[in-house]
Amino acid sequence: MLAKRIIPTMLVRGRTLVKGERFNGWRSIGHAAQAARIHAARGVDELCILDIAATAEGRGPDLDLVRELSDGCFIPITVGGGVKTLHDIDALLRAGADKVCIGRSQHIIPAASDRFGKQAIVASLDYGPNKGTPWQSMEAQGLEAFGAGEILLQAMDRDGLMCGYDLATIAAVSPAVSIPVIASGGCSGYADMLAAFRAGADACAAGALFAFTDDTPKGAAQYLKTHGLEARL
Amino acid sequence: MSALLRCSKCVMPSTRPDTPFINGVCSACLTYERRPSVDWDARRGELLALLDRHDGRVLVPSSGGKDSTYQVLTLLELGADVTIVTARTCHLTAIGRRNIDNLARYARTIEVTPNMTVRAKLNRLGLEMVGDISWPEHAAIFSTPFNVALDTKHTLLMYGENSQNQYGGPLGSEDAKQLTMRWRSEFGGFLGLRPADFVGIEGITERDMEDYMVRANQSAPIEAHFLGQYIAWDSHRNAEVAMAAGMKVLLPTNANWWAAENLDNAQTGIHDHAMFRKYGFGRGCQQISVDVRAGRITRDAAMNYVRVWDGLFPMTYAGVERDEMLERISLSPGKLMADLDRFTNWDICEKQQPVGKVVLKEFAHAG
Repeated sequence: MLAKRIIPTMLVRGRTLVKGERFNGWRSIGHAAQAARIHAARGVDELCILDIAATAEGRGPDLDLVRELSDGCFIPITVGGGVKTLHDIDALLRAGADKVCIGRSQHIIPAASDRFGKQAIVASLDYGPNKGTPWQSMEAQGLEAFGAGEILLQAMDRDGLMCGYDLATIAAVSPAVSIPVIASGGCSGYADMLAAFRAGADACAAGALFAFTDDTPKGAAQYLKTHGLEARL
Repeated sequence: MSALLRCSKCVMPSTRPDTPFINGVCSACLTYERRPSVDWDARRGELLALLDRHDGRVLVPSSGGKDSTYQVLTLLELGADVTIVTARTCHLTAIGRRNIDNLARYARTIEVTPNMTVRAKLNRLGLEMVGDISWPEHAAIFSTPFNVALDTKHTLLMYGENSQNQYGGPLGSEDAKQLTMRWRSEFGGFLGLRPADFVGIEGITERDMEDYMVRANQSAPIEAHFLGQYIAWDSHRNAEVAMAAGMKVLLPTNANWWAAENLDNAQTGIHDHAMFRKYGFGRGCQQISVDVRAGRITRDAAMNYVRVWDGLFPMTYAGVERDEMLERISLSPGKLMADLDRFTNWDICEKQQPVGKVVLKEFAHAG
């Protein structure tokens, strides 16, 4: 059995760590280096860093920030935000990213997958409450056909609310594709992760949980193992 | 990138965590403006009812400083049976010792000192991992009183101010009267770093970290409240009351504006300087902003102060030399500066050559 991955998510605006609700109302909650170093010391499975300001500010990825955060960090890092060109991806991988998350500019995925390998390409599938699960499954299949190596399935209406993952969509999308699906949005505790994995997720991303509560990725792994899932301790 | 904007009423920057600005005004100023509409008589009635529900027995987490002294004296005046609990600071200063002893003249005091070798490791690791030398002190302040309450069968803890109310916080958080476990995890200064994260590093054990965690409560639930939500908080009034009761004051460093705050830990200057580098404000900026809100100083004068003094590196703090403080925790000056640099927000700060002083770009490039 493949080990289930637990992925802390860091949202950044410059060097500021932020957290919002429903992709809005951003709160500044600290310095990005704090969370990056904590998760590096924890040796988490993977870390996802998303720059929420890059697209809004009409700029590309902040390469200096990625260099700073990845310096001395020996865990895989996925970086997203402001990725519009193959040059952006190349620069991010050279700056220390192991994977690049592509949100809006998904037309570059085929070329990116060809050039950098699909293992380096994560496609972000952000969805609101208005579209039904068949639509998301079709979109996921399209992203897989494009050459995405993984899908970050982000329930925007659950983001930051700690109300549980969107299990229905996870259960619909996961069997529709053969690439890993990362559940994101709503995690309030270890039990939510267990439910998401049982619904078919290959990995669980969590932001608010690790920023605002005493729960840790290691605690999550221990919980999952006691419930019969394979997780790396 | 995240630029630094200052509140148009006080001088706090928008880069302070959890400080939303509305129309250019910070949440601390907005909360302050709402104060006159609070029915403080009704709040006082709520406080008396709260004390009654707990048979008048209350445990007061205390540093011996101005707010702690005010809390203790106020609760005694209300007829409460007060016990003081003091969690040992990372590097207790002479004046801090004196003020703890002064307050002990008024009520029974329980002092809890953890293993200080472990504490020194946590100081170094806190600085290295999250840029906060004072991480263990914050963790202890929000853990030790709960554990002592369990041991002494207290069911009521009375902390001082709700820092979101006094200094700003996410909208809604400023109204919290109760310090819940969620509040503790979110606002207690943990910065996302949890006690369990230290286990196994430098030989630190789970037992060592028990001093920084709240023990599972098998008995009566413990309620922790903020006195500042029941009695209007005024730091200067608290200081006057405390000084009249024997508390001593000292300007701990020129980077502070007040002489009556944070006197008990020689490491606090480093904590505050790191805060300046991360978030663009030091202790002086925070203190003088309170005075601007209260009309004790003009905003222009406060800006002039901040421009010159805020974030100044403390070579001594509360009478303790920097090197003496570092030696006690086996930290070299070089490692200290490297850790501080790692957590500096270079979007808003820069180093001035040739001495390498870190300043805000806002002032470095002003005319």
